[in-house]
Amino acid sequence: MKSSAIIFVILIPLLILLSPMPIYSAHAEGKPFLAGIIRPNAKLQNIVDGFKSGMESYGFIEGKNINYIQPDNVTDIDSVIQDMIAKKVDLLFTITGPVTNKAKQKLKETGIPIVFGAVFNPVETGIVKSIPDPGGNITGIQISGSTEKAFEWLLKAVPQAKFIYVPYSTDSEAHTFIINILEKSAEKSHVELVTARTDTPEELTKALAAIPKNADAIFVPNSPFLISNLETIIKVAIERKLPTGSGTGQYKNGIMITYGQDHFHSGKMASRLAKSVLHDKIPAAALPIETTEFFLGINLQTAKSIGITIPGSILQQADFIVR
Amino acid sequence: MKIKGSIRRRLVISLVLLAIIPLLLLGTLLSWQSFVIQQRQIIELQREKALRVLNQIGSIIHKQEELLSNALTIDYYILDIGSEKQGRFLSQMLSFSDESRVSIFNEIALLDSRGQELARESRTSIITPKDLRNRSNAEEFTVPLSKRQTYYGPVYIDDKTGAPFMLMSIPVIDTRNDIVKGVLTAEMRMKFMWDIVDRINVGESGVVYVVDRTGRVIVHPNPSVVLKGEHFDIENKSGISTGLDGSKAVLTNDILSLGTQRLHVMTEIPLVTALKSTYTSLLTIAVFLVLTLTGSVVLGFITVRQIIRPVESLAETALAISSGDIDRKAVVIRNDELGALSESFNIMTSRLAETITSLKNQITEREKAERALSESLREKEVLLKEIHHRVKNNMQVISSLLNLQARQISDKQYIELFNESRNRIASMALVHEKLYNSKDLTNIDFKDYINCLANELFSFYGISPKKILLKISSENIRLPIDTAIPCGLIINELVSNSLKYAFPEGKNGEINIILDKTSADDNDNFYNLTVSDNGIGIPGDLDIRRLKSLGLQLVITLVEHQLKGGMQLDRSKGTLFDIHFKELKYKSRI
Repeated sequence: MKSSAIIFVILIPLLILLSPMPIYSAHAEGKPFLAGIIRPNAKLQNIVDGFKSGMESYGFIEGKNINYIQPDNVTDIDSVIQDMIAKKVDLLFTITGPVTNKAKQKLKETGIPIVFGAVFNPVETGIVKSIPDPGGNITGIQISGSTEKAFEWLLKAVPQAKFIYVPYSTDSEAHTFIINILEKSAEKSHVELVTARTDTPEELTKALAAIPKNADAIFVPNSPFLISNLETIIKVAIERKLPTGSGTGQYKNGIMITYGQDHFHSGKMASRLAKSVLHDKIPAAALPIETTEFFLGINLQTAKSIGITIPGSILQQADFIVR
Repeated sequence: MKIKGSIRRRLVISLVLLAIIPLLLLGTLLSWQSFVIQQRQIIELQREKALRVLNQIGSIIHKQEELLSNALTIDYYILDIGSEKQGRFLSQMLSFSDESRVSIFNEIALLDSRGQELARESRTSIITPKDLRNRSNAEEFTVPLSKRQTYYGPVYIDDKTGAPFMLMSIPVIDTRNDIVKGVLTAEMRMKFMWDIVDRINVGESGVVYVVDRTGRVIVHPNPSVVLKGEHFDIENKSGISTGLDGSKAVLTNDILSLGTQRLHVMTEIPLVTALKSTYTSLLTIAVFLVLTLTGSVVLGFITVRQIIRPVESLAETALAISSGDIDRKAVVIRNDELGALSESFNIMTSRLAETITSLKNQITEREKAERALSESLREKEVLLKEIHHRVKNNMQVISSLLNLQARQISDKQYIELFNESRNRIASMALVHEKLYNSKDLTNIDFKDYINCLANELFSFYGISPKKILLKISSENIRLPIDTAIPCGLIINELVSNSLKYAFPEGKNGEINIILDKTSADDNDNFYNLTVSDNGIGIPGDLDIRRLKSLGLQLVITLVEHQLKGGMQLDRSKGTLFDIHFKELKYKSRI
């Protein structure tokens, strides 16, 4: 009797040790999961990379128990989404508000869950009901919440600035919300704000050409259109020796100081939600929207180009610095 | 003969008692022990995971506390440096992040000794001097100020984001004079707990979650559980108990103490899932047991059959033999002890058959001999009867010859002598007649004999029994011929005397003959014979021993010499001869 107890005591831990590490199996029938990815802009690839990396850390190995479909050409979003539905994806990973909104409409009756990687303000844009209770079959990472602080960081870097130029685009329903925050932040900081609507490249060029002479800095709000045309904005800012700030996290793409998301990190955060949906079988609607982490990024090359010296105290607090 | 008991049944019962029951008991015990061990191991494994979670959470929180404390140790004079520098200090602290570059603090504030915020920095908002507030009544201020120790607030969920936060405050102590000059309070981001519990796998369907001291679930892999504000009664929640969803589960409950706060790190696996491997083990044991039992039963029955079949065959053969079928043979199919027993049995029955045949032959022989003996005996009996018959006939012939002879004599005296002789011969012939008519050729019924003899004498002398009454009294006495003949002669003589002389001139009277067996010992029978009459009697002066009469001399001679007895004469009332004698033993004459 004692020996059988010893056998059990030895065997059970041994079996546990020998049991394979958890690699989440896909469907009950052993078929790998299929996840669709819609990334509208190549500049957002880091989000996808972060998402895949996160998924791998949760045991979803690409080619083994999960496969991804990510079309390069997403000009026609509708047909891309339609294709995803036809291929019966188990989950759709979307980036940006407009793409997510369209996906939500298309996938309404399909039962396919959506996890979005970076939507500025999903509540304001009508993508979700509320942050804690998204509703529908959708959840994801919102990237709003850093605008006010990003504005403050710009002013900390350029304390003498009193006149801030803000181009904006109506490509997202969130623009009103952003402008509202910026106006309040300007008021708190005792600075003046000049906004300019730029929905097309031409309008942007025209607006940049018309930046008032007394402008001390440019603040780039979160907008897919503006990010797509960031080079134009940066070029003008450097020419005009205007410091740039943003809540987009686009410091690598030339903005002097940013306080916002890190794409890779946002993607990684989204992977946890996807894991909960695919493995834990938690309905997407039961997973509250999470807010991305905000990072302080400084592009010293841009600062140098416009002749700005970033104080050491700020540099000390920066998460990322492009030298 | 009917077999009442059954060896098969006894063996089966023995098999059940000795093999099956212990096996069942052993199996049950083994299963129970396996169940207990596996349950304990499941709980230990769960606890290990819970402790891992607990340690990770505790470690991060203490690191955060350490960050705050270290910062203050360096800048203990922070309360004196002015709001601008204080703001920068807080801003720098706000930029602290963990290994994943995730900000640790959401908001951080510096309070003076009155609870007034001197500076505050937020991760998401611009804080202006107008936004600074007085927190003198808040626990995050009063506890570190009064107790000089770190304050941990309850974990709370932000309604807007659903993210968990916790306030932590530490006293700002001026190391120069050890006075608490203010409080540094930070709103800590606790979302790291989500990642921790999310990365812990507790079996296939188990979860790790964290419950605060009020029972509110603050971290759960399914955030909707947290957002719904579910409460869980954590009292006695360990081992097999009711889980979060109300179903039975295996739970562990480990506590992380943070000041007055208690974070319960719970692990929960649905009971059915948790005991899946246990059930599998139990099933394996059960299958093993069933197979072993089946094997034992089959083996047992085969063994029983192998033992019982020859025994039953032997029993059947024995029954058949006992019923008379002596030629029945036991079937010998094996070379073991039972085979040897069957062989021995067959040898035994063969010998028995031989013995029986021999006995039968002996019996037949004996029966034949008995029959021959019986035949011989019968022949001898016939012969003896014939001899007695011939003796009697010869005596009758002698009597007839004497009668014929007597007819040629005219002298009455001589005629009487002839007649007396004839009566004597008749009395002897009567003995032989009685002998050959009797089944017993050695003894005669002497009462019957006396009766016949007396009647013949009455008849011979022509005396009516009505005139002289004859009374014979005797037991059923059988006498052998050696005794019967002298006795008969004695009675013949005495009764003849009474008939001739006791009742002269046709006088009426009575003759009594009494024969009794007086005594007997181991060897001899003693008799008493009384022959009496109430006649005139023998004159008193007449000495019977000196009489020339042959009759009485014969009586005396027969009594004293042949029967070796004695005789008295009583003349008081008629004549009474009282004779006693013992039965003569037969003497082999050949």
